[in-house]
Parts: sequence; structure tokens; C-alpha cells
Amino acid sequence: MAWRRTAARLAISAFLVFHLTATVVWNIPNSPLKQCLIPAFRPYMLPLGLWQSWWMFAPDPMGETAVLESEVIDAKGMRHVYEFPRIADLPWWKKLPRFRHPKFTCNLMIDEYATQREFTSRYVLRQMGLPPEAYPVHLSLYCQIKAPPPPGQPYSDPLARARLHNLGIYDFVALDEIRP
Amino acid sequence: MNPLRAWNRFWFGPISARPLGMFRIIFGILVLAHLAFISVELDYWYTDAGLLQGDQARLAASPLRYSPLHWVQDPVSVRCVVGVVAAVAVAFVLGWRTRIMGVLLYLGVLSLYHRNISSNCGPDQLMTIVSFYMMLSPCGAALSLDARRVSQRRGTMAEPMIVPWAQRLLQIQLCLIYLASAAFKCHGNTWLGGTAIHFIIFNHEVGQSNLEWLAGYPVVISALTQSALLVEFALAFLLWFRPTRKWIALTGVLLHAGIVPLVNVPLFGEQMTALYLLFFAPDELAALLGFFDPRRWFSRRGNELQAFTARLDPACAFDGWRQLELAFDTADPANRIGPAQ
Repeated sequence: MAWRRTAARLAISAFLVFHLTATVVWNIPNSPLKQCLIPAFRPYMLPLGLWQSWWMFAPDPMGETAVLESEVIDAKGMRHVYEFPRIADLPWWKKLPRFRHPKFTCNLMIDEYATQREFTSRYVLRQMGLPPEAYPVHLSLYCQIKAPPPPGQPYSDPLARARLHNLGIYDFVALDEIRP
Repeated sequence: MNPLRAWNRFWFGPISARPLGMFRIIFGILVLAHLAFISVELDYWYTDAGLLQGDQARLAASPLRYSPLHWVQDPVSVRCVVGVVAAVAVAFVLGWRTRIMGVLLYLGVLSLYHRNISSNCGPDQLMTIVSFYMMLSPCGAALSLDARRVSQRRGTMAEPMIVPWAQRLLQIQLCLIYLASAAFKCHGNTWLGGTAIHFIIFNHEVGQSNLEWLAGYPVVISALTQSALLVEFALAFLLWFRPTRKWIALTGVLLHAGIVPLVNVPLFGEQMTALYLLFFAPDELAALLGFFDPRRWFSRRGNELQAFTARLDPACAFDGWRQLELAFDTADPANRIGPAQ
């Protein structure tokens, strides 16, 4: 029976070495070594949900408040604005389960999420419920960004103008384009 | 020191199952809280009545991130899935068929995780990874219906022991999170410069409370920022050693409690602080539980009973009972039963 225990320990040890190497490789900063090793571990880490990045508020926290909005101009030239959920002014108990909205906005600002910007713009049109004759429409997806005051200054200027960060411009010719 | 022996002792030396059992209960409750939070905006993030329809969720997840919820995404079916995962989480908390429930819980959490890639963040990531490790671990060996059934069959109430390799992976993962997070923060200017919290305070969408007034005290902001960085570095190392463990664990709890009014990321700090339990030796866990037992606040006998049960802990008889005190031998030898180490 001792050989069985040894074999089991050897198998587990091999798994431990492999798993820990994969986890460490996933967590090291971007480097040629990481670029070289990541493809080898991707088929293990991605399907199992073990991929990870712990860059929370690193290297510097995003001090700007970003809110997602969309502007649609329909075939008649009418302008419609869609505001995504904003949670800054909600009471804390309503904020708690809605923590995904700011994360989603931040993610959309990363180029990697370009496909999802387009999906989001289709969602905007579904929510607006424009009739078929309102098409074709021209849609811009953007973030309104408010900068924080410099360190040492306790209050932000409520009248300060927000900067627009454009995420994408899309044209939809007909209503059936917004449903996959 | 023989490295092979050290390897075997660290990964395979039997330890008490109680800390892991306690963590299983808390983790299961946190999964239930996670499902409760999900249910508030279930349609928006997880069904085809919300943001992503048809094959969009699958395309957004990119290849290799599979989930049955990429195909089954009508609101009723997704509600059923969440209900089943909640039932599994309840069974997991109770420790009923824990091995099977561990696998089902992981699959359930993973399915939800991969359905909603676009807005997942730290709490989701950590929950998926921890549920993977819990699936691999014998987390139902103590404080569970399974353990009760086994002890009734055996006719004794013996303390269960486990081989800790999966628990060690959880411990290492926790330390890696703190280390990576602290190291990445050193790449920027604001954490070392002591202004990072100023910027977090003014991100109103991410913040939990309006703490703008705090920005008027730059010295306080600097102290909080730099001490948070220092504590993150310290947590990566000092939980392993008995003399520093309870103090650094307490500091870690304060760190995460301090984050609560600053940043709205529910269930992240709760999971991280619950993971500290996995570093505790049985007597430390007994002392912690005693601290939260109101009967013991007013009773001297309570403390005596606690000391007595800690001495009776047969986990002390084995090599691996201490978490990693290779250099620190502070345990009182009189408290041990069995051969001296």
C-alpha cells in the first residue's frame, strides 16, 4: 500500500507544481517571460475560471468619475440620449448589489472590450424601442468623465465641465440589426 | 533540512480539519450573499432580456471560457439555475454530501462567472477560484453533517484530520493576491506618494460614501495610503507565523473594514478575511470562537474549558498540526498529546 500512497503524492505534487507555476505566471507583470509562457497555461486557466489579475487600484487608482451614456440620432434627425444606471447618488444599500456598473464602464474604456461596445450599443437601441421607420440611426457611445481636484483640496467643483471620452460610433440601417 | 521532507510535511502532513470546516461554512454563506446580490439585477447581467442576447455572451467571453448559460439564457431558466446553486450552497454550508456539493457549487459559480465577463470583478474572481480549491479539499471533514455521520458510524467523536494540500493552495493564493496587489501598486506614483486614497475618494461611482471632507487632511490621507500598502505586503508573509498571526490578521480585518466606506466592492474583503481562518491552529481557532461566544465573556470556566479542549486536540500529535512554524516553536509542549516533534 505504501507504493500507492507514494504514487498519489507524486501525482499531486506534479499537479501542485504545474498549478502554482500557472498561477504565478498569470500574476507576474507583463514581460517577455510572461508573453512566452501564458499561451501554454491558457487552456488550463481559462476554462477552469482560474485566470486572475489583482490590479485593483493599481498602479494608480482611477480618480475620475466616469458615467456611460449614448446618443442616438434617428432617420428624422431627432436626438435621443440614453443614460446607463448611475449609482453615485444611490443610498448605500441600493449601491451594494449594483457595484458591477462602474466596473462595466471601466472595462468598456479598455480597447480589448471593443466587441462589447457594439453589443452595448445594440442594447441601447433595444431599450429605446424606436419604431422601424426611425431607422437608419447613428449612435455614439461615450463616457462623461469628471476629474478629481488636486490632492489637498477637499471638494470637487460641481460646476466643472465633464470631458467626453468617445467609445465608438455605430450606424444601424434597420431594426433587425439590433437583435442578434 | 531535507527539502523532500519539508515538501511532504508542508503539503501532506495531517492537520486539523476544523479551520477548513469553519471556512467552508462562512464561504457557503458568502456564496449565498453573492447569489442574493446577483438576483437584484439578474436580467440585466445574466439573461437575454438584458445587456447581451443570443451568441453575444459567448463572443464576449472569448473562446475557452465555457458556460451553459451562454446557451440557456432566458430569464426563467437562469432563475432556476440560480435557485439550484443556492440550494447547493445551503447543502455545502451544512456539510451534506460535501464532496458532491463542492463540485456542483464550483460548476454553478463558474457558469455564472463566465456568463458575465464584462462586469466581473474581484469578488467574483476570488469566489470562483476559492470554490475551485474547496472542491479539491476535504472541507466536509469537520463541522458538517458528513462528519457527524462518520463519527456516529465509528462510535467516537474523534477529531478529524486532513491532508492539507488543497488548503495550502488556498493559503498561497491569499498571499499571492496581497503580494501581487501591493507590488503592482508600487509601479505607480500615488501609492508610494501617499495620495492614492485622495483619488479613490473622488471616484463617486466606485465609492460607497461621500468622504470628500477627508481630502482636506492630506497627512491623514498619506498615512492611510501608505499604511494600507505596508499592511498588504505584511499580510503576504506574516500570517504564516504563529507569533505574528493574530496581530496581522487583526490588522487585515481593520484594513478591509476601512475599505468598506471607501469602495463599493461587497464580499471581497469578507472572503479575504475569512481566508485568514485557514492559517489558524486549532487552539487559535478555539480562542477566536471563544472570543465571539457571549457566555465566555462573563465566565472564568469558559476559558478553562477552552484551554482544556485545546490540549485534548489530537491534531497536536502530528507533524503538520502547526501551520508553518518551521522556525518558531512557541507552542507549549505540555499542551501536546503524542510523540514529541
